[in-house]
Amino acid sequence: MFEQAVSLLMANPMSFFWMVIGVVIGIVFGAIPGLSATMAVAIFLPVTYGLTPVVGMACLLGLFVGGISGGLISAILLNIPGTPSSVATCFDGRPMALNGQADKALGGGIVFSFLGTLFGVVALIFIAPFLASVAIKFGPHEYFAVTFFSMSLIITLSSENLCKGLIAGLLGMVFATVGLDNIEASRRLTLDINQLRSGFNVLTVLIGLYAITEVLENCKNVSDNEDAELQDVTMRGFGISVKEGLAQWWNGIRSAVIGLVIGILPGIGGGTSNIVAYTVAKNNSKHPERFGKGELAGVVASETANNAGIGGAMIPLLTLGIPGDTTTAVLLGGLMIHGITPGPLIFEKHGDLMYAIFVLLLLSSFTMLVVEFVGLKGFIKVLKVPKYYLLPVIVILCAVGAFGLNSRIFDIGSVLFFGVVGYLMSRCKYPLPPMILGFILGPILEVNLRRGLTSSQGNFLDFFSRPISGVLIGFTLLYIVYSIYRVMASRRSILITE
Amino acid sequence: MKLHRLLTFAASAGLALALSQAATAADYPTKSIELICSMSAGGDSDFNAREIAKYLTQELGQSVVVTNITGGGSAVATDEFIHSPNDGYRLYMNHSSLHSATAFGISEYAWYDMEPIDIFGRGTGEVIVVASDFPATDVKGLIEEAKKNPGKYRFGYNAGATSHYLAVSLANEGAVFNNVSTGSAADRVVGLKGGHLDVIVAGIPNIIDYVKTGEFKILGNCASMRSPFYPDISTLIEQGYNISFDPTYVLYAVKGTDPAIIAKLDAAVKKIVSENKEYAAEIEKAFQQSPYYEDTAKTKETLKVQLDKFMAVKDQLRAGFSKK
Repeated sequence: MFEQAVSLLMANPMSFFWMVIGVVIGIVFGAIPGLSATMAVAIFLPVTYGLTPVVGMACLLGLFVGGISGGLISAILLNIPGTPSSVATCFDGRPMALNGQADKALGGGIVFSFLGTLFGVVALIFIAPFLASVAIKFGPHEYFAVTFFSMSLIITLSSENLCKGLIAGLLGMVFATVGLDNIEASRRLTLDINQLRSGFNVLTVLIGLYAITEVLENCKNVSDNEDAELQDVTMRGFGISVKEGLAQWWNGIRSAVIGLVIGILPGIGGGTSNIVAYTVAKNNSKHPERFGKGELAGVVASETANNAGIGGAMIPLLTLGIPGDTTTAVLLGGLMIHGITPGPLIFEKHGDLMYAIFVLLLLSSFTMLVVEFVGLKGFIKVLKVPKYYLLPVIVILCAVGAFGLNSRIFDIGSVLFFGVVGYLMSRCKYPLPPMILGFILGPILEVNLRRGLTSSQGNFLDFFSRPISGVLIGFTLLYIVYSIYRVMASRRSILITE
Repeated sequence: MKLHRLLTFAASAGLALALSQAATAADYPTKSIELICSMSAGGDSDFNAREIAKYLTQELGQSVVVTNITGGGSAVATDEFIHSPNDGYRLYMNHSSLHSATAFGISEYAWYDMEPIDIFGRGTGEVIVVASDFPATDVKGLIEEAKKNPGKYRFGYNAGATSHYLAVSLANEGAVFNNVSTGSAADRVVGLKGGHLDVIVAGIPNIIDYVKTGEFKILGNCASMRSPFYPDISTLIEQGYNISFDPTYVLYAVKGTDPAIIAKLDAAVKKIVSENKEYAAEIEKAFQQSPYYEDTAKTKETLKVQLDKFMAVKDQLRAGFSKK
């Protein structure tokens, strides 16, 4: 299969060029606080419309890998995580920089970002084809159960306040019902507006909620960043010695596994895994007191975990068509635009492209390693570009991208609409990820519930009596009960202490 | 003096306007033309739109650009197109999805709300497919099986699409299926392969690989005539059922477009489809199509017949299956 992939790539040599471009721009997006990997992929998706599928994917994958890794630069030098995936990198990266070890923090972060990506991609190569062969056995009942399980995870894990998470998730599901329904094509919530018959495109929702909301948020504190102190740095070699690197081997593997598993779970990704890996590294360290004061292990844990999640998040995306996080949700759109429907048959239908994706991910991680070391000075300069130049450009790109989706002005309006919705939500402290995943998973849940019911002649019991779906649904229900119990328990303890 | 100048200006402007209008048909096209495709990029319809656009660009000397407007079972694109200016710079391509949207009630418009230019292509057609261990070898056997075991077999259809029309037509022949709404043809293939569906309709390119491996078998072709590339697959009509739908790709102009412009476009399309060897080779390679063309008058007749077929089962389509 790899031979076909290589010949496909050779036939499309531009894919290498676009991959490098993707990595470089991805790192810039990752490094600038407020811009994220998701945004990079969303904004550059329209650029790939005119490219062949493999070249388009090369660009998007480069953006993904670069975007996740780039966050470490501003985390270490500015103490502002460039992306949510690098929050825990600040904890020790910033103290290290203040101690004059900025090169060690950056070097360690970059090297372990690379190793983490490599680990995730290798896992993807081995797990995805196997999972695809299992997934073909999945009927509507099983899909319903998997989606149900994912949604319960997202809503409980990605929000601090369970009620607000649920409300955001349901809001996403409501927006997803607009348009013709997927089973009987009856009109829902179209308000007699013809444009609404096609519903809201998932990418307009994503671009609106992520990019426009972020721009609006940034408008508020544009001046805050100007006086942020930017650490200067001189790199000596890789920044860390071979010995220092090797000493982190166990921490690296543990964090990579954490990142991978969290990446595979739908709905949560690098944003969660870097903090989990950091906490685990701290709890298992012989010197937990050194964490937070400039311990290399902290940077390594965070950066390995978030990058290992890339391969992880691609697994359910490719084999089930269920995106593992918001970035892969945009990638899903990218695949569909090029006529590729992810699902159990993807390795049979597009085997060469799948393996080309694996090769491109590996190449992107090497490119990222080289580009970050060589171009570090340049990326630091980009951090100095004032936000008031950057933000308007992003709004324009969002509008162009939205129009490119379906050649309708309506979609530009939707993007702005969701931007305002997202801004209001984040002002009121409602988490956005449950809304996006509710929007994406809601229709999958509904369609499979209704399909399952039709194929078992309206019998609900089939959802419980089929082994895979039964176990998953049972597990989910237990988990929901546990989450509610946990909320109640913490509330009681607050009351007692009061 | 001023008035005089103004009058001269107005007269010359008016003359220029009249000249430019007179020139429209003869000089057409003087700028790029937009071709709206109601299906998403990457599929067979989009491919056909892009192929014809590519060669129309050569014929007309102005670029023809394909724009995809999807959603609402093509109703969104139809709606957008019908309200465009009728100067010939916006064209539209659609196939039977236009009729099913009309019959199903998703769209308020039908083919006669636009100016058909011609039929410029015909897809490979859809076939009825089952797993190879299914106890029937033709459509007759399938219907008999579905009569003997009412509701046992799961038939995958897409609401408001041609597969929905087929489900209704088979029900009218007495077959009792458990009709499951399953979305796109790709989803149906996954469903059949995973054993979650028993009978599906899908385009030949979608399933031919699995027929070769012996996992699937074809019971009949839903097109009105056999495919030259698969001459051994008999049609439903040959098997004695008056059920057929052809994926004919139709090019439309906006209602009220100058007939001279339509004639010019029709001539260009005719030349491409009937003479261009490159075009023929490309559509064969990509979707195993052979060139197919019908002139404006014949296209209108074909469209009328096609729509009548869908309208005949209109009430059944609108009733749906689950509401019974």
